[in-house]
Amino acid sequence: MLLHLEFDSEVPIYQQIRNQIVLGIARGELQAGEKLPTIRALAEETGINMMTVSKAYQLLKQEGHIQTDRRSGAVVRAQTEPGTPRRETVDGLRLRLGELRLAGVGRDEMLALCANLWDEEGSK
Amino acid sequence: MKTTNLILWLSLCWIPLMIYAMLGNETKFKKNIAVGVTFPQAGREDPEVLAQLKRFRTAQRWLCLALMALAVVGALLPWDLGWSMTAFLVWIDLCVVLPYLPYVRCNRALRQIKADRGWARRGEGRRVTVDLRSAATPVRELSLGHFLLPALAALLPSLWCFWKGETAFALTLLVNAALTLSCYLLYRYALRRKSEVVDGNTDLTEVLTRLRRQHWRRLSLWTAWYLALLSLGMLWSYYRPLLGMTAVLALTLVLLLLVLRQEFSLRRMQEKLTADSGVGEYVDEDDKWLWGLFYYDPDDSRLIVNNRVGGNTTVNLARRAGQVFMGLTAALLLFLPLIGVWMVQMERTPVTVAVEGEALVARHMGTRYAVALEDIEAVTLVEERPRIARIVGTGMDSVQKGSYSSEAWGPLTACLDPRTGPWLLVETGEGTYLFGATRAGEAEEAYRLLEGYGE
Repeated sequence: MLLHLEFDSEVPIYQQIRNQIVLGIARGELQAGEKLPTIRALAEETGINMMTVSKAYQLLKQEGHIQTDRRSGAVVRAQTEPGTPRRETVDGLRLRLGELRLAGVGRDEMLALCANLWDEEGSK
Repeated sequence: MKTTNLILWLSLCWIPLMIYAMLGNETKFKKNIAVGVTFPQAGREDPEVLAQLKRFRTAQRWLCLALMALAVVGALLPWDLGWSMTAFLVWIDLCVVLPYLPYVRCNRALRQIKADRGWARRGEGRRVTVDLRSAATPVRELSLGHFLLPALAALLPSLWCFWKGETAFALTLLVNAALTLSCYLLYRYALRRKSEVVDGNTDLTEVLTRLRRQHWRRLSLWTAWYLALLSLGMLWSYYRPLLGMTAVLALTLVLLLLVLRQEFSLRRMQEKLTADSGVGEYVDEDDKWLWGLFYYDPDDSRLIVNNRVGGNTTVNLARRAGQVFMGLTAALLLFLPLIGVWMVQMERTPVTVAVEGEALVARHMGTRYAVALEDIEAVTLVEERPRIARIVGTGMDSVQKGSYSSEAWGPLTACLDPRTGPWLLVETGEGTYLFGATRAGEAEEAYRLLEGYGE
């Protein structure tokens, strides 16, 4: 799985790392139990600060996407509660729906858009 | 035609050939890159791209021939070493700089073609691409133990010299032993480099990264062993100068050939493995490489980065240390011919010997050797040109100064003009000195004043 970090983006680097790893897990590009690079290795690969990578991993751990231990480092966690979205995810979705509503997108259009994106992500 | 000139020029006249081979190799697509420009697969068959690459190869060929012809002319000129060295160093500068002019021209033309075809990345800002799976793969490392054996081998000649009381030479060899051990540190540093991401193919990234690491592993170990054997060679040349120096030269030649073979082998592998890349998503970092040669990325915290093609490295010019390093390298290249001018000055400055107050003093430019008269045990006037071999110091047609050794007198300190005899052999409790002056009669004059000392 390729990780692209955009330095001109308004999204902070740690958030970009977090987002792309989450998408990678969702698409099946990263499997449960798969090892992620160590904080040091990823910082050296990207040329960014170790603290930034550490912050991204911390976030992923808090959200339950990865687990870390001293021996095996960061590992993709099996999604143990299927069908139960996290509260933050629901809040995020609510915000995005609000933005769509403000943009004048109707319910059916929104559902079609969601279905398309869902299929697109699933097919990757 | 002078033998020293002939050796000087012919020993390095292959440099243009090597640069031609290296730069010519840049026209073969490796990791989707040719002459520092990244192309999609379609670019490899574009007639305009191919024509540019052919033009570049032709320019390189003519340049190589011209530089080699210059080397032959230089070797045949009957100049003194100083002037010959000045011309030689200017020629080295030309060898390093000139081939890159067609490179830069070709790079710019290829970039233009890339932009015209719509192959350049648009709308994407500064970015870095990493293969997560490859970055997570543990690195197989060499341990310090692999470097301890050559370091120990490099240390032995130093210990031998300490034991024999040759402290100055022992310290030189000790530095060599420390350098041997530093190969391990350099190796560890090299391992921290970025993976070789070309496209989304993780297996390809892993193989290319493994090859690069293997390249560094070999280079570090070879260099460590080279330094260890160099120490032994230097010790040998201390006692048997001709044989020792021949061994050191042969060893250097072997290392050079091994390194070149390794570099071209790595390039061949990179070319072969990425022959099918450039379709769909592929990495394009051309915007970080000025003219395809100089790396500039303010978002990259690394100082030393991999060259995209081959196994070499370069510095990040966005880092202050990188700018300083590159500035010093450019200054070194620019001022290199001044070494030749300095040598001309050395050739022209006479060596003097005189008794000054309570000491016998030999002088040449900024160098001054003084032997207190009370320390002198014996003085001999040597009529026959002394046969001495240099250990550390200057050895020119008009001056020999520094640490030398002689089969007849053992290790000695020399400061003399070998063209004008006789020479003064001075023995003290602390060592032997061999002095001689450029002006005829100066050594005899000093000898007359010294007669009676040490008897």
